[in-house]
Formats: sequence, C-alpha cells, structure tokens
Amino acid sequence: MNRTSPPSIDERAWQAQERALSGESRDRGDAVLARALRSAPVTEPPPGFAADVLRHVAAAPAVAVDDGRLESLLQRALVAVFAIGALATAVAYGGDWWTLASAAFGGEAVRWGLAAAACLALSWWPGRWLRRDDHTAPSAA
Amino acid sequence: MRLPGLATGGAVGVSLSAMPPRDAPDDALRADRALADAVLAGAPGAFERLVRDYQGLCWHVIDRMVRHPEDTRELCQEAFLRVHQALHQYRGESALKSWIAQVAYSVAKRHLERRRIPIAESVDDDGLSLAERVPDGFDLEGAVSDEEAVAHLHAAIERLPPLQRTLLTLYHLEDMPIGEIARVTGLAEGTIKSHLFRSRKQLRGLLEPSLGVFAA
Repeated sequence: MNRTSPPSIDERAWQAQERALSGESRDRGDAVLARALRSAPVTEPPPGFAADVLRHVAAAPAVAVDDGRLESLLQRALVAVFAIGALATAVAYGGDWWTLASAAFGGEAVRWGLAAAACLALSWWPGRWLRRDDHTAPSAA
Repeated sequence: MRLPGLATGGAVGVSLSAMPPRDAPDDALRADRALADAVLAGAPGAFERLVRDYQGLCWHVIDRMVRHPEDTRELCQEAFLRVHQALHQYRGESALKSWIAQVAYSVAKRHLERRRIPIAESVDDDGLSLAERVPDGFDLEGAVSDEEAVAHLHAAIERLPPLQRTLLTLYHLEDMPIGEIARVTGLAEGTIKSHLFRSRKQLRGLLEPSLGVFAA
C-alpha cells in the first residue's frame, strides 16, 4: 500500500545536506546541485495577465461574505435536537435506568451521583453562558 | 533563468531576486495588512496592485504543480478570484505572500485531485528511484561540464512528482522558510523536510556516475 508521508529523517542528516548545498562544501557535485536548484527554469505570467485577472474577477458574480452566523445557527439547532432527543429518551427509559442503576450500585449511590452531576452542570453552565458572545471571526483561508 | 516565448514585459510579478528576507519584519506585515484593507475597502487600483505584486508567485506555484500553460492561466485566474472573495479572512498574522501562495497551492492541488493525478511520490513505489525513471538516452557519464550537468538536473527536476517539484521551488527559488511552506501546503514541517531531503538526495545521486570527471 502506498503512503504519501515519507519516513522522518535525521536532523543531523538534514543539516549536513543543508550545509552541502549552501556553498560551504567544496564538493563539485554539491555545488552543481545547489546551482541547479537555484536556477531551475520557471515560466512567468504572459503580458496582460493582470488585466485578464481583473476582468475575470469583475465578471464573477458577487459572493456573500460568510461571517459564520449561519454555521453557528445550525450548530445550535443541532445541539437543540440532540438535547430534545436525550430528554425524550430519558423520559421514556428513565425509570428502567433508575431500577438497573439502583440494583447495580444501590439507590443512595445513584442519588449522590445525580447530585454530583447537577453540581457540575451548575458550575459549568453559567461560565459558558457568559462567554457565549465571545466567538471570534472565521479563521483565515 | 526564464523560458523564451513568455516575455516578462511589464507584467512581471515579484522578482525572485527581490524577495523579502526569511523573517518578514513587522513593517512588511503592516504593509500587507494595509494593502488587504485597501482592497476590502474597494480603494481604486488596490486589487490591481495586489495582482501585479503576486501574479508571479501565484504563477510559479501553480505552474510547478500542473505543468500546463493553459491550465496554469485558468487556475491562476481562479486563485485570484478566490483571493478576492476570501481576503476578509486574512488576518495579517503571516505574510500576504504565504497566504496567497496557500490559495494558489490549494487550487492546483484540487485540480490535480480532480484529474486523479498523484501529487506526491508514493513511498512504497516498488523501489523505482528517480534514476531509474530517467529515459535511456540520459548519459550521465558523458557529462563533461557543469552546464551540462545542471541542464540534466533541471530535466530531472521536471520529472519529479508535483509536490516534490513545488517544494523545491518554494524552498530554493522563492526562498520560503520551512514554516511558511508548512502554512502554504498544510503539511507538517517534518514531512516537508523529508520530501526535500529525499528529492535532493536522489538528484545528487544522479551525479555520482560523473564524479570521476568532476574529480579531475
């Protein structure tokens, strides 16, 4: 099977190769390679290319700027759907879960576990609510 | 060295000999930010200036990847269209040059992927090295001058996979540091170094048969 990531190299080998190609080496083969790498032929844009680009951009339809509000709205809707689903499931099967958990861990342990979960939620949620308006702009391209 | 038939005329982008130093100073970043702001504000001539400043870079990146003049032209236009549409996402934390190069690279990469052209040399390629992919007429031992050897290496570079070819261009011709290349390509710095190391080692290996001539 082919991989696209080559095996990692030894940093010393990398530095040695860098030195060889920097002009410090007296090896003519290294000098020829260094020269070839720095003089590889490149093509340039044809005359008038910039003007073509400007015409192409001017002719393109305007695109609405995406500031992330739609994505945020969809995320909240998804979270709401999950929350409603979780609530409905808890209502439908909560009694059975309580019975099973009480049999496995004891009723008292289950009550204390629920109290601990409620405390955690009460300590986390206010901070989350206060930070709800601090979302930054979309990341760079 | 520039290929004939594509005269530079007055439409040359950033000169390879006038590239900014590896560590872009703060004033260069401020200038980049100012240009981006001017384009976003719709200042007359601002986007034209951006295109003229970076058309060379964009062309080099895409041409190295696709190696087809007409495709390069279309993809460059598409890249600048994307730059124009997404410039509001540029925050000025890195050089505008690397941001635009990133857009150009992603446009070229997507083009190659759509055509199912592999961009990187696969590691487990049943041992076929660069030397074994050189055509039969390539006489390394007949090389009698540096110029001839350099020309042969240039031909060998052209036969490298798109990714390796582009990495060599960005590192050695555009003088881009590894970290900046990582931002442009989305690859890890170690991966970039590995590709560069392997490619250069293979190219250096092509000169081994002619070392007897050089040692004279």
